[in-house]
Amino acid sequence: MKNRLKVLRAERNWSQAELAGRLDVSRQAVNAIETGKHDPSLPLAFRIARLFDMRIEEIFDDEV
Amino acid sequence: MMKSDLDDMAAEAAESAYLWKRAALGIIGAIALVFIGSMVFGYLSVVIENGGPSLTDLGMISAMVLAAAVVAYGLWRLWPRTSPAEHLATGPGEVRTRQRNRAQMLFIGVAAIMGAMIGLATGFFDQGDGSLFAGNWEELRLPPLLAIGLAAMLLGAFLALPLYGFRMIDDYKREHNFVAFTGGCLSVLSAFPVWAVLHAGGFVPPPHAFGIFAIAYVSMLLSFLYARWRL
Repeated sequence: MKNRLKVLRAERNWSQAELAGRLDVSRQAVNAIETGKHDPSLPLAFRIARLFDMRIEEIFDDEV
Repeated sequence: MMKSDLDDMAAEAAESAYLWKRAALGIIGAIALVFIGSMVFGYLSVVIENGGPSLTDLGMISAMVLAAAVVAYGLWRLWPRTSPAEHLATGPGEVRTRQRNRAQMLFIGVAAIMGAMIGLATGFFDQGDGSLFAGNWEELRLPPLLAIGLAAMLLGAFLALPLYGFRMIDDYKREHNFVAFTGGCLSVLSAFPVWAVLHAGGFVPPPHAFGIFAIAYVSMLLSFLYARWRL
């Protein structure tokens, strides 16, 4: 699944570790989501959306 | 690759080196102290059995206590107290990530120390000629109290620690562990009957409990490595 996580993170000048800490997941999990290797669970997707103050579908795109 | 990614990698490498140094020092120090402690107790029990210490015995015991003190002092001096990333943290997220990494390293350290203590205790106090690998169970002998203690530690190492670990990790790492446990479980379910029928056909020795355990353990490890690098 494609997502805009890396772009959103860069806009805030956050490192992967910073984003991981704010989401309470490991840095490896953030890296795997950014590279599309891992799809987040629904609760984590909601946490991500809340953190960036956006809707889930504005961050994740499954139409690929 | 963005600059923040490169910073991430460098910071993570430094943090890893720092954590590994702590883990290595902790494990080596614990093994050394357990070893010296066992030597002191062993020597004391022999001295008591032989009826009172001589001057040489007192010297030997003092030397061993001194060695333990030197190891403890060395650990205290060499122990890295501040993380290299401590001053580089830019936000609350990085602080939280460092805490998570430390908790995981502590978890691994505790597991390693438990493994070392189980191995050392069985090695030092083994009283029989049996071997887990050969399967001659009748000749395996341990002092009863030690056996109970080891059973409790093994339950902690193989049951309590993994269950606690599952609560600690996130969804991504939990997925790796699910793959690993599934691999181990499926290997045992398939390996035992396959081994049995191959034995019935005269190809291999009869199924062996430690062999099944080893198959489960190794296949679990291989499944984890597959999940870690490929998923």
